[in-house]
Amino acid sequence: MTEQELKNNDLSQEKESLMAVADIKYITPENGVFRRTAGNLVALTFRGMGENGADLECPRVLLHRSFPFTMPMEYLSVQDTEFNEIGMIRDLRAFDEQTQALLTQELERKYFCPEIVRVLSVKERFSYSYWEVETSAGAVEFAVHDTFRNIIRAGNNRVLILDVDGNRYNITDTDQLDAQSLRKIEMYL
Amino acid sequence: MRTIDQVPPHILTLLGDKGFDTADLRLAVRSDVDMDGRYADVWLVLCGDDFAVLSGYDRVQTARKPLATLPEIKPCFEQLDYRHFDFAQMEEPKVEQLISGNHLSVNVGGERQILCRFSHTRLTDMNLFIALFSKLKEGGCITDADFDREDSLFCPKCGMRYPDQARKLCPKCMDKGTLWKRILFFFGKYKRYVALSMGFMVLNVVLSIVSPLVGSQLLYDEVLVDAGTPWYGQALLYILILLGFRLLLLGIQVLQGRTVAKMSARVVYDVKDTVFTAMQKLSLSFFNSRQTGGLMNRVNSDAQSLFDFFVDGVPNIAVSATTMIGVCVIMFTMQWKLTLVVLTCVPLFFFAIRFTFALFDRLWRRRWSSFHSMNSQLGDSLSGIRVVKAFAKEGVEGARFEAANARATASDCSVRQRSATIWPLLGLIINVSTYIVWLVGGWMVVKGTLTFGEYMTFSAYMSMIYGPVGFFAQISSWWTNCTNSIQRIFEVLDARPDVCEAENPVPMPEMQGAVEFKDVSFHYVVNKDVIKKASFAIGAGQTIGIVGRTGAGKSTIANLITRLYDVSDGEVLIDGVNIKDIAMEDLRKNISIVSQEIFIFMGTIADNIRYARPDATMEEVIAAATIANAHEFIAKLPEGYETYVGDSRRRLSGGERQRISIARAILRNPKILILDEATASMDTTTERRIQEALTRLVKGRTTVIIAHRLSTLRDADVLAVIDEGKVAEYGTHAELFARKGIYHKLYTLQLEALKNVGVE
Repeated sequence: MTEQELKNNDLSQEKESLMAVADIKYITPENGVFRRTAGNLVALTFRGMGENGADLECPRVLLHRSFPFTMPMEYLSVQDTEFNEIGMIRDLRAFDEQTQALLTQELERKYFCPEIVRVLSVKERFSYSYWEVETSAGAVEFAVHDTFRNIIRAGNNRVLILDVDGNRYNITDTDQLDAQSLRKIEMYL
Repeated sequence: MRTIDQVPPHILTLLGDKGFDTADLRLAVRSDVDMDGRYADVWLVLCGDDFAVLSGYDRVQTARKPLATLPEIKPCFEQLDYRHFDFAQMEEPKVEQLISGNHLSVNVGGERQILCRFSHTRLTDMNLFIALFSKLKEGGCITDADFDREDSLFCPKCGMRYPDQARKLCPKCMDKGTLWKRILFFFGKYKRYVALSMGFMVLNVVLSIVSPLVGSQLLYDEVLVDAGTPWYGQALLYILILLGFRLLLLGIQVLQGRTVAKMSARVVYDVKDTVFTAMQKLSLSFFNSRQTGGLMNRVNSDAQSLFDFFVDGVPNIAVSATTMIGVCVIMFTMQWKLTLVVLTCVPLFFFAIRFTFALFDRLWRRRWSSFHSMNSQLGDSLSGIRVVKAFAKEGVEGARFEAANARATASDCSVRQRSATIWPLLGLIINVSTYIVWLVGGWMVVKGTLTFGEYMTFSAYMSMIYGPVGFFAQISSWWTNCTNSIQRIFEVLDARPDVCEAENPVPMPEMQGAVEFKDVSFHYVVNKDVIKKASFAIGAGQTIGIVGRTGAGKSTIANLITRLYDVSDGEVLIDGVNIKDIAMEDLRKNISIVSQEIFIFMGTIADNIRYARPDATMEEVIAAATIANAHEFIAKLPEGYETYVGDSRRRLSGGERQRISIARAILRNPKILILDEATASMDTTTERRIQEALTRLVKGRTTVIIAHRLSTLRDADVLAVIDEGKVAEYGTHAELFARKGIYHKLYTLQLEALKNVGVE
């Protein structure tokens, strides 16, 4: 082995031990089964994670994104109703389509954040701006306080808008907006 | 029957068709998002014992818009989904607040079900719904008092949503006249200056308008040409008159400028002072919801923009308007045809200026933001230089700065390049219009319809037009900026503190120091109680230790005793008197707190210790510092007690800062002393020494000690274990230890940790 290879080996071993110490429980299609309950909630059976290697039954689980902007479908924290982590999903796309649909819907409910497709009008009145937009969830009006501070840049052209009530609206790529919409919001970007 | 949201008749009809007894409508609320995450209208209605969840699109009114703003259309509801529940089976309704959506869930026959989803906009209504739902469940009756809240979220006049729910003020309908009148109130004190500057302004305008008549017409038509007047050939006299005229004008302009500047500076001083004083009076919650940067802006830049407006704006509006009108009148009387030619060029110039300012406004803003991010990048790397070096990331930091620098340079370049192009172009517009007038005017002079003097006067007047036109072209953005500032200033002036002194406060100059919590609940955010029905009592002169996990609500208890916040429910009593009734001054005088967040003000160490009692003698300062174990390190500093600290001057360590703030609290000599993790950054020996000194000092004083380390609490008479906002355990060390509960667990854990390292 060359010196470089030795070093790399060292590094990967170090990485290995980091993972071992953290001991994060990953839920995979092999050991976890998600299903919808009668009450429209999500339940999980986590194989071999209960006491004495029995299956762990969770009647209700909550999902939380670790990287909501850049990796919305990866590293999902699965929590019980007390927000204690049961395990993590490395990549939701590894699961079958049904589970994917179920969990995506659950995530969408938690991160309700309509995508703005068209800006109809933005009016500035004192330190508030009043927006009339069309979103992926339908047309809506909202007010934003201190507009500059409540438009959050998340990545290159991505923008999050927080209204006075704490609702969120997303623009994935400002460059993809039609010219008229862009002109209306340009001064805030 | 009153409900949270008034159910429109067509929905009632629809429910009637489904077999509901709509005459017995008991509760109704509306949500704005359906189960698939689309904006819709979801009605939750309780009639008798039937509960319906009806979702669909209302073609008449949507959940986000009040009815009043829409014209009347034939009622129509496009139903998407309908669910029916039996009220008797529904238990434990709950609002589940998620990241940016919410659920309303309920137990139906032991199984939790989601009733509906809703956006944050409906949160207040949904919380009220749950409260009323539970009340009905317990067999209670809904009365009007249950709706005792500021009713609408929308302005009744125009239907616009109130931007700030705490302040029912619609920006659209707000009387802007009143706003200006209130600003003018600040000028009231300076009536003399106002009158003086007005007088100078009138003189200034009149003289400016007359000056071309003297400057051009007299010279060309009477001095240089023999027109039969005595002026012919009197060149010297003419020049002297002209010079006198100029000096007079100059004098008036200088006097006017100075008067306005003096007056406005004083007004702005008043405004700043008033805003700052008003801000200090507000409760802590006001500061929590707003960033410090924004507040500093309010004191400084908003007052500054008022200053600009009154120094440049108001006089300029008056001067520009009168100049423009005066010049136009004179020009029309002199030669109306030529005037029309001049005026045709004016709109072009007007719009060109408007466009230019809009463009540059955007460019400057972009430049500002890129420079701002470059500066913060620079500050970030430099203040984190230890970490940068420790991880050998100098190269990466360099690259990051380079990228930010490149962006800033590019934006700067674009501003400069464009201004280098656009301003000369604007000049060209003026030039061309001048040439046109010269052409037409010259032709008129040749034909004899215009004298040469008139022609020259005309040219002079023409150049006087462009200044005011340019000014009016950009006034709108200026005006908006200024009204925004005024509004923001009044937002602070009008804000009412949440924590205010009672109307007839009980004076308590000498407290005994007995503190009692009676069923106290408290929340920072509605529906998220941090303290839940906590009850306990501290006898006068007792020392209580408060332990608990991070986030259990320990510091909140300290905040409630000092009345930085008011309890949401229950009461806090000091010597049997509700804290809300005690005179604020007495309350503050008798309670001292050393909080987790320590703030050292700019000034000397002595000033910082004396902060709460500026009249303390230096001997007392030294005594307090000695008790707080601060004297030792202070005495070693080259400048001793006069060492200048705060604002990144001399760096004090965490423990040193804590000791100074303890000294500050001790010097106040309070009846109730609260130490919130006050010794957490110190080594155990120092902590021990401070405690011993304190024990001697705190005799006869009520002391509340909040700590993680149980060793900190060894002198406490009584201990309270706070868990999830409740007083989980209460008693002496021996009692709690015997209980084998949370305290026992904490104690054994910490003891073991010590054993492992061989301390005990």
